[in-house]
Amino acid sequence: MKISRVNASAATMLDPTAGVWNEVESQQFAMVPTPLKGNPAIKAISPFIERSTDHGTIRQLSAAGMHNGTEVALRLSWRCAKNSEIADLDQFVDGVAVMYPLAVASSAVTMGAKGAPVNAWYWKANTPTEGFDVVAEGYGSSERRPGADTELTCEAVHDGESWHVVLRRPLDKGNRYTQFNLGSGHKIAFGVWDGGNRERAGRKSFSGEFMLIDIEA
Amino acid sequence: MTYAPKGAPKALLKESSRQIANIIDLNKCMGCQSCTQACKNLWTDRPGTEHMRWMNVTTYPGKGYPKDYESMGGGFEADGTASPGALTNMSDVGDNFQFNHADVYYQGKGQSVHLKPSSALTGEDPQWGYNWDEDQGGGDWPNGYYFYLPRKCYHCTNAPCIDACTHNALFKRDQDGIVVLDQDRCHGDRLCIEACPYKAIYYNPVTEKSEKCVMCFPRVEQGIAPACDRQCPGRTRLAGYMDDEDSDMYKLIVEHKVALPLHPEFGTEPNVYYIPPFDSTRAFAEDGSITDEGRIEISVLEELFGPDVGEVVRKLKAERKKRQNNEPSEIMDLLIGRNFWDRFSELTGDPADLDTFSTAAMSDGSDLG
Ligand code: SF4
Ligand code: SF4
Repeated sequence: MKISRVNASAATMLDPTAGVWNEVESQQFAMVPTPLKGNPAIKAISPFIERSTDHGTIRQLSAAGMHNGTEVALRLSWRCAKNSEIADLDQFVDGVAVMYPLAVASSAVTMGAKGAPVNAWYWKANTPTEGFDVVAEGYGSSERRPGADTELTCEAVHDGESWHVVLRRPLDKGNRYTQFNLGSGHKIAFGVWDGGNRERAGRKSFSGEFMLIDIEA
Repeated sequence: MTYAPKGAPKALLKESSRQIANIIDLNKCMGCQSCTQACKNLWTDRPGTEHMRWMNVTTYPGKGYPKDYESMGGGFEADGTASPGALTNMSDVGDNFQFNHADVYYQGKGQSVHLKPSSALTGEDPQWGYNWDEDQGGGDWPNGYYFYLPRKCYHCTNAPCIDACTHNALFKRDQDGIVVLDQDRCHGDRLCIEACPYKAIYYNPVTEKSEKCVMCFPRVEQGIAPACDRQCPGRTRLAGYMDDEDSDMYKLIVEHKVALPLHPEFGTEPNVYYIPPFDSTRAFAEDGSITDEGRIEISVLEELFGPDVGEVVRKLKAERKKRQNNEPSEIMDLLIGRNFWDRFSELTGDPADLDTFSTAAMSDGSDLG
């Protein structure tokens, strides 16, 4: 995957239906259910979630990325019925997350580890423009702050079949966790939650270990 | 544990130096819901909590509260394996009925429009609600029966809700063993609700976090009994600490062994105990004469309180017989509770004296709810 340089305004980048998204390459990623059952590290943080077997219904996610020299945006699309409201107490909403390593040794599978944290941008369907900036050092350690704290902004559309979600942030590191260096490589991973299947927390599908991406100069 | 780091082992989160506990005497509960109201007024009058009854009283036999909680799963299997159950929905937890007050009171239609509830979720006639099946009970005519079953969080020693939360939002307070749910750590995943076999945790859709009974910890810290215990006009309640061997509560639970936990087979080691109902209304014989037997089958009580309840009922009946024969019975004296304050050991403080700004939870900066 490549984060391409484009000549587009920040507002255009944020629009998941903008034509500019057709001009950059998008890549399909295979998603798999997170390995919860029989995972001792999961059992330590919750022997209850360790028993989950019916999660991870979403098996494919397509992602594209772009920057305009000041803002970076990712567009994520996946097929899923729309679950965007917690109308009843037993309902969950759809969600998606993009994860980046914050240290050389950071692992996406374990959501980081002590001293090797990961950063994630998290979007959920009932607060579709907000987004959360997450940092984690292992399963169950994630801390969320509102996306507004780091100017992480989202926009989402559901076209009747699929979600198309854009997450956008200034390139500049500032008070943010992840640093993007134009013209060099980066690592990325994805997670997705099917609210209709009561997916939340570790009950999700994910893209496995971090994958290399390029950021166009 | 007072405030363990997120990755702390579950065993640490379940540790406490002391353990607060309760007894509720089911022979004395009259279903007045004073305890329910005391709790509601104190804790669940915020947006998103309308449907919650951290303290609740329903009649047994019945579907209980939340509806059918006994068959929703949760807790542990016999070998200790975690056993996640189902989630409760708005109807199960009694809904948040909306009433047509405006029509009835302010439109001059007081004679033509009747006050009627509608479901907050559907806007339609409610299909279930808190105490929907009140007083239906069980047994065959003419030997029908029911009793009231007040319930709240059991502040379990082996609390599955603590195990379930991947964020370690739930933990026992060191000073009293109260199980609290840290609102800052909660992500609203509701794994705790699946894990609690008593369904004593409720989801707040406004804050998108879960909430539960806090055993009135700001009162407990200042030596004041929880509101539900203190407001009970039936003197059903005893409260205290399990290490206070002089307390009436300790004597009934540990020395006399006449107080039992609800559904011990869930494996959570609850800290609220019940005096089983042993003296239900006497049963009619087939010929219509009144017998000396009660109407509640021991098997019904065994389903609730486990295999020891038959022995407890025998003991309670024998003790009552002693009093009827003018012999002393410490058990009966403890259950009667002639002095209200004896029932609360260290927790006899007056809520009017409560200093609401000096609780430990507030002073250590954590937000416990
Ligand atoms: S009753 Fe439920 S919520 Fe309360 S401590 Fe036990 S498991 Fe946790
Ligand atoms: S206040 Fe006491 S008597 Fe009234 S319902 Fe509650 S436990 Fe029963």
